Amino acid sequence: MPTRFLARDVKWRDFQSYGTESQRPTDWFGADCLNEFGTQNNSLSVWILDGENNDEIKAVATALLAKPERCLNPVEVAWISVADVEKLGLAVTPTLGQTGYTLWRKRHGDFQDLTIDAICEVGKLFAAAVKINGKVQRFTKGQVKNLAREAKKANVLDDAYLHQSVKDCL
Amino acid sequence: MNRDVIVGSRLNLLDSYQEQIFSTTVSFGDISIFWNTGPNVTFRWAAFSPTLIAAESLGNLVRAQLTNEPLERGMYHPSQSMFESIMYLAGRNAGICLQTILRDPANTNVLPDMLELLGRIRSDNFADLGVEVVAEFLSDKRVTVRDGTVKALEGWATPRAIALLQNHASAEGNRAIKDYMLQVIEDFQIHESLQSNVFELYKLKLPLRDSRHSLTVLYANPLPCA
Repeated sequence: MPTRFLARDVKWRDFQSYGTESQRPTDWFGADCLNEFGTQNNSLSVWILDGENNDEIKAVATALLAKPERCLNPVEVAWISVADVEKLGLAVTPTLGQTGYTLWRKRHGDFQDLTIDAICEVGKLFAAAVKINGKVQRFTKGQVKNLAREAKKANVLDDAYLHQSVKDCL
Repeated sequence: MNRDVIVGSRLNLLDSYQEQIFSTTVSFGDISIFWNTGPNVTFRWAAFSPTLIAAESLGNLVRAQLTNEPLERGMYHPSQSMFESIMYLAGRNAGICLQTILRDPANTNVLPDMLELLGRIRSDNFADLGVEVVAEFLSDKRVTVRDGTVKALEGWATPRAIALLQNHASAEGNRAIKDYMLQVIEDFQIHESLQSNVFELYKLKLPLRDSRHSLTVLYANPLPCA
């Protein structure tokens, strides 16, 4: 069975350290990393990847873009392995994703009932993914436009979920 | 109603009362701000030069907003409209205002977010001014600030913005930012060549003897490939 991964959007620069960064060890993760995880109802949203390949990462970016509140802006995606999450004793509950990218609505999940310790542990996994393991991909605005157009062409993009700025580029 | 006139040197008052500002009115050449100062004095009135007021007061408000509500990826942030208002309020002085705000040491922590927000102002008039304002931050020692600057330039994606990125890309020390810069430049080049190709095809298809179409061809001047 292929290794599965969990992906979500991140802000790359929040994972970079400040000031005396050159003197710090590589695995020094600043508290800003936790800016990424604005949990609601103690849940954290992730997308479930069947493998670590370009198509899956692009699909996550498309799913993230196809949200009503999401303007046409660059997207940054980071991913961690399910095995690492399971080592922490955590699990992801599949939930329906609120995205206009219809193919991926069922590829969404939530960490539910997270404690403050657990969110820090998940944060450390994402920080390591971004800062050490290079498991992060940045999509520029131009690339994001192309993803949206490809999805539209394949007829798997529901316009009702798109922000006006995304609709305009299609 | 007790009204005092406060001159520009008392700008620091705005810091303590910024949360209580409830209305801003604009008159020709001057900006007046009314705010509630507490139970004893109901209203005060201040008039400052647009440059100072925009730089100090709006800068403080943007910082307060960004501190209270972090900038989320791709989501609208109320500070966008604050920055847009600077353009209208400060007019010719918008560049100075923005520079003052961005250089203010008090804004250090929110500087990358401020830069990214500036990139979301898509007005063509603003883009060239914006490129001049943010150019200095491409050489900042902080990775986060450089990242925010590239985001701003990507947002505008004008030939000047891309030229600036091209000039800095080779000197950029951080691999991730360098890759990002190169990708933005490549996106621009693809976009420009597509535009150019569209016009070329358009030219080929249109019979020049038709005056209506030949006029269109005249105006469909292909953009230069970068």
